[in-house]
Amino acid sequence: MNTEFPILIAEDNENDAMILQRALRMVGFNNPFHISKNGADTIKYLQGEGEYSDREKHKFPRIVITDLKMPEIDGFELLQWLQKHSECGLIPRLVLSASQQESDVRRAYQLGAHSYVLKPAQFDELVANLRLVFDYWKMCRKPTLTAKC
Amino acid sequence: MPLNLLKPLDTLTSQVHERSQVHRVAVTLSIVAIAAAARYALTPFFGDRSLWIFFYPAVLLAAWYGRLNCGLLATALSVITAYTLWVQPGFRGEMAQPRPIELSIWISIFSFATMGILISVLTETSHRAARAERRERNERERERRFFESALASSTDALVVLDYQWRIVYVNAVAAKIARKPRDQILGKVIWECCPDLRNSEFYAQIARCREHNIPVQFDFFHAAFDLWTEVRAFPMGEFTAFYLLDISARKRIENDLAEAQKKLSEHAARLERTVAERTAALQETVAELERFSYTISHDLRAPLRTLESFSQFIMEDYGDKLDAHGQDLLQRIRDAARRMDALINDVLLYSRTSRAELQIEPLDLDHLTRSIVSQYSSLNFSAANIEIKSPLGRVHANETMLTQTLSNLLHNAVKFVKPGQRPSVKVWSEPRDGHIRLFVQDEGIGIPAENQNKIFDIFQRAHEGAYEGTGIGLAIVKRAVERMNGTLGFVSKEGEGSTFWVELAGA
Repeated sequence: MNTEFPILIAEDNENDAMILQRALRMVGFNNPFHISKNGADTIKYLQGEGEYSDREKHKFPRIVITDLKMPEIDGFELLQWLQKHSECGLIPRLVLSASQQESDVRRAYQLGAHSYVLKPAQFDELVANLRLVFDYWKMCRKPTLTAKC
Repeated sequence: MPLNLLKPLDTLTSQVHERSQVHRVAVTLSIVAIAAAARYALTPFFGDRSLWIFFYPAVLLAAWYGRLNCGLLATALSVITAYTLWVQPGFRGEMAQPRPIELSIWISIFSFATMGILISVLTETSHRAARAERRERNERERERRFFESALASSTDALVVLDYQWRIVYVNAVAAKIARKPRDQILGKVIWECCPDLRNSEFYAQIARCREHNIPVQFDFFHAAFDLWTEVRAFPMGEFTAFYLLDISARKRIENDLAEAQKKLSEHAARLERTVAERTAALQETVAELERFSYTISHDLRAPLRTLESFSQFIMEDYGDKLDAHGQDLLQRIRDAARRMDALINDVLLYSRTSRAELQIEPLDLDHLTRSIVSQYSSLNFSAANIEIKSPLGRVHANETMLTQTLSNLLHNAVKFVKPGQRPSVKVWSEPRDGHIRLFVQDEGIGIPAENQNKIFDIFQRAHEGAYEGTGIGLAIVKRAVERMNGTLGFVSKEGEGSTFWVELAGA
């Protein structure tokens, strides 16, 4: 796997972000991670604006993992934004949320999420679930991404 | 007055009727005797020619006084007397000796007798006719007086109009309503008495009664007299009669009643509005409360995840630097966090079971049960002996809720066994009046009798401590079954196992 491209993580909870990173490493990702505390920063990164204008340093991501409930621009708005921007709409999007509400799940998929994984209480379960998802994604054929949105 | 005048006539008739036979015969004899005497006395003037002249009045008088039989008696007596009694002395020479009765005399006797009978019969006939007429007149008068007094004493006002709208009859009550003496009203056109009745509904209704020759009835408010009346008018040939009943009191009550009903319905509407508002407010509160509890449960889990995961990270990263006591403490933190998470998870599930929108659809129980059994490792054949007696049938239910229900029941059946015992579970169903009752039977530890009444309550655990669990599983089952309009129950004996059943509408 190409380990140059970063994985974008939108997660406002620092602890959850730490847990997620550790789990991703255990699943086998050696890629750099970019953690955004809300959707606005993620969008900025994707657009390559401001401090992220240097695409050499801040490469275009291969995967976006987002929480749903975040300040300012939340997960739903981020998904919506991704859906509207054709090139970004091709990036695989994984929702990682604690919400079991049917309405949340439905809306996330409607807005183009490729998978919806619950934040489990146990770390091992999180690792197992992520492994399942990424093994599946690895198997799938994916379009080539251009570094533009 | 007319009745008093009639009285003597009436008495006379009855007297005639009452005269005794003897009396009448005596009078008849007297009359005939007087006639004979008169004839005797007057013979010198009339001679023999006056043979019958005195007897005709006698017969007539007797018949008039004593009726038919007396008339006939007088006729007979007259015939005998005329030829047997003597005449005055001056004529004795001729008349003393009985004369031979000639044919002319026979004829004269016969004609007198015929005339006498005729007179008697005619008198009797005229008598009877007169009496019948008297009686009839009397009857009519009585009737008239009866009706008059009936009308006069009626509590309803009665007015009779002729075709020119003139008042031809008005009773005392009607006069009282009009507040005028009767004689001032009689003969006047009704509009003179009550000008305001013209061009009113009253006029229209009475006109209808007259034109179509039908009785009409209507309520009418007479403003001039401040009076509500019920008018019943009916045609009487060229006249029109109408009764007026004062219904002011009734109308007042009706008005009061209508007023009261209006107030009542206003009150009811207000009450309904209040109830609707409060219901809406209550529903909003309940929804708010559910959102709140959901958010709380949801947000409580985040720090737990951190606790659990970070304990594990310490264990993994620094486990070798901790002694056994330190590791034990860390393990306890992890266990507590896990348990707390399980609790919150079940509360969330319970809350979701309570409020989730339900879609009821036909479901195949066999398929559902088998997929649950195959999905969970603890229910696998290797771990437990689960016997499903197909076919279980089809029910109307919500898939998520029914899955949750059956999964909870199966997990309980497998979980609550004596340590080391291999769980044995039987699942079967029975049709019941269009419903299907699904049974889940285990041979586990059973439920103590004293705990059986509260096992469906949330956070109630029949076997506190000995078995893992949150005490919400059966509460979720109960809520789910109720939401699918089903029923549930169980039979259990401590040490021998439990049988839980769920009954749902068949599909």
